[in-house]
Amino acid sequence: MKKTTHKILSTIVVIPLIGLVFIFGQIPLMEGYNVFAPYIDTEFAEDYSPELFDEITSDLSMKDVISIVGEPLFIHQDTINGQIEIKYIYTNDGCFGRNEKSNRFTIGDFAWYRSVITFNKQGEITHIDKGWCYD
Amino acid sequence: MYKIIASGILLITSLILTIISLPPYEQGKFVLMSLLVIIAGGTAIGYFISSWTKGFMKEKFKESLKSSFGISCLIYIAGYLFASIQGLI
Repeated sequence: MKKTTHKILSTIVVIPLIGLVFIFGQIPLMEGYNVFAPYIDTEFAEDYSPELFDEITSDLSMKDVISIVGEPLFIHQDTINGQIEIKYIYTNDGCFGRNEKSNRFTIGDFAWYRSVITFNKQGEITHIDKGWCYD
Repeated sequence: MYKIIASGILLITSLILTIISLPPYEQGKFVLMSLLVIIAGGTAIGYFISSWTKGFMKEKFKESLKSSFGISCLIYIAGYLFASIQGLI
């Protein structure tokens, strides 16, 4: 009798806990880095690649940058403290989320790779920003 | 002995996968939570195995814990793989 109680009790306890462990295994990937497809959620500019972007150094001109990584996805212009800033944005988030298939999956948003070059008014590079964004 | 080694390898694998995927500022908190869930799952699996096998329950429970934590880690890794690979299909 006691053994039967343990059998029933252990079955009741183990099933939801197995489910919890399985779900917990998925949580790190929510807006997390996908080891098997790192750039799954990153939208690239047409001629962009992370390897080409790594070749960009701060001594290059705007023209040189375009010849290496091509035209950016977006160009954002801003004035900060009277200084004109031109940002060339080469990547964007949400590539996987815009895919129709993504609705079928438990995770629809992974980490994405940020690649932004900031130029000053003279067209000189003032900042190169790259790295993983977990949003 | 090999059960303990296999469980250890699976635990390290699951923690490495967790650390790789998370942003640095969330790693500590989430690794701790994952460990707690894996331990809870392992204990429940050990209890389940011991209650469904013949023999003294306490002895069986101690024996099954050697492999139950490995099984719990395996389920955790399966969840991780399920979420990461389904996006590629």
